[in-house]
Amino acid sequence: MQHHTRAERRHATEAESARLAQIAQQEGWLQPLPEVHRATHLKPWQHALFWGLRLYIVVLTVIVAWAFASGRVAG
Amino acid sequence: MSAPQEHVLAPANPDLAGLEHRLRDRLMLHELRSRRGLWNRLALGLALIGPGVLVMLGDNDAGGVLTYAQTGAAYGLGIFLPMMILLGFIAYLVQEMTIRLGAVTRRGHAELIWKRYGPFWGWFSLIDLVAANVLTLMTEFVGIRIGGEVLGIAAWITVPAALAFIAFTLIALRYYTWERVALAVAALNLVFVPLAFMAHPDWHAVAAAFGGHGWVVPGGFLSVTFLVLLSANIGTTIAPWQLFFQQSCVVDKGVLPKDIVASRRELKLGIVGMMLVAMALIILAAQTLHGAPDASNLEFDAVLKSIDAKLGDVPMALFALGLMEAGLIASIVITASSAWAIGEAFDIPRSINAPPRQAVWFYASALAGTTLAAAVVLLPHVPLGFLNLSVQVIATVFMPSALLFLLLLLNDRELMGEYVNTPLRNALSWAVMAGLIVCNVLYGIATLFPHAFGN
Repeated sequence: MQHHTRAERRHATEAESARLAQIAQQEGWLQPLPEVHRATHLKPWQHALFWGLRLYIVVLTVIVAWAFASGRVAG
Repeated sequence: MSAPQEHVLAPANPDLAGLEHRLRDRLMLHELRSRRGLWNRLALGLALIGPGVLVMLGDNDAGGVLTYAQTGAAYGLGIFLPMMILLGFIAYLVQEMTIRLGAVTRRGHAELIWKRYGPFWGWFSLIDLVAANVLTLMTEFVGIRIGGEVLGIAAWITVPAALAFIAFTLIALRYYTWERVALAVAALNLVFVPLAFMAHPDWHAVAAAFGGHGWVVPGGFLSVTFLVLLSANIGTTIAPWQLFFQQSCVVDKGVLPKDIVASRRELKLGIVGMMLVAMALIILAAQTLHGAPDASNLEFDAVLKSIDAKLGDVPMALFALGLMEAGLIASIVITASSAWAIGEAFDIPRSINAPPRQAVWFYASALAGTTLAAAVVLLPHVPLGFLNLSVQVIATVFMPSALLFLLLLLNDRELMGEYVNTPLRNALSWAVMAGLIVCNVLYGIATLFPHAFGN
């Protein structure tokens, strides 16, 4: 739809602004997002998982570094 | 529309960067939903397509094209052809979680890891992701360079042109247009499907492969070739950047919990596209390369030469075009995944809807990595094997942690509320994660110590 006169254009802009404000209100876009807090109370199995992950990373990194340094991997 | 505009112009809250454009996109969807008629339904369907299709077709990148070609060359129409269906299911299981996480929390993956599990894991994830992304981008630009050279275009034209295109789409376009352009590029991924038909495969043999015919693996399931190709196929279906990309993409598109069903549908569409292309490439390679020596180490040149010899110039040119497209679409989405992750980690404005003056570091940091990757590829004698290996090694270390965080977040009732994983989904997801870790470890061992399994 073409808006030829200045008044028509202003009216269209105002109508769109109203619709945007309405959708912002309806869908909650202007409300602040809930804070995400640091997980401080991990369950024992979660602690175990994180330590397992650390171990996995250290072991793999050492193996990879050794393999590259010793020339086993040249690409 | 005074209220939204005030927020858009307020740089203090990075969550609201580019809000006005996002509201326009939401309004368009809202209006399409309220109208009736076939064309409106079609327009709505097309407008809802985005993150899922992009992530899955971006997944069929230049390295993926080579992996599927190597697979078809090594095993023909064997076990890997039906395995693509299983891999598609696994991809759905994993990627669907990023949809829910993004839609419910309206936060990206990097941001949630950083805020929920602290800076150590935040830095770890970010450094791994960015390093893997830059190295992967090098392999994408290699694909663009080689594809261009086959078509008679020099590397000094194709690589900078691709970089300029990626930078232009990211900086100059806002999210919805960027998504449409990226989808148009991604659609060209399907060029490999007619190529499979041009190879005139035995369709009875193709159908039989889905019924168990030809599943014998020479050398056994612990052979280096099988493990390397199995892990490479898994790695090309589920990669860490995909988790970060889709979740951030969902957030930037403005997907809300009420859109989860539609997002799942478009993810399924992307997975079907991914599987079709992967199967087409395996069938093509089975016809043109099966029995080639050292099939699991084939390079692009050997694949292109074989297609030229068996099928002719036109199919080879189509393959080269597909290779360029695969590199380009992957570069577009991987660059975006870096941008979002960096923006989320440093809590800066991080939306493709944000104009460059409002989100300088969001755009600059990611494009710096992509520019570095393009520059390296222009150097003579790029060590492609080393690059591929480095990408795989980083992914091996990184993938289990990325999946672990995904599963922990999806079971976090404080964040997810009623959208937490169901017990069945958890059981399947943990099984997939355990399987991936085993494959990753076996792959790592087989790659680093080729004789570890006695062959």
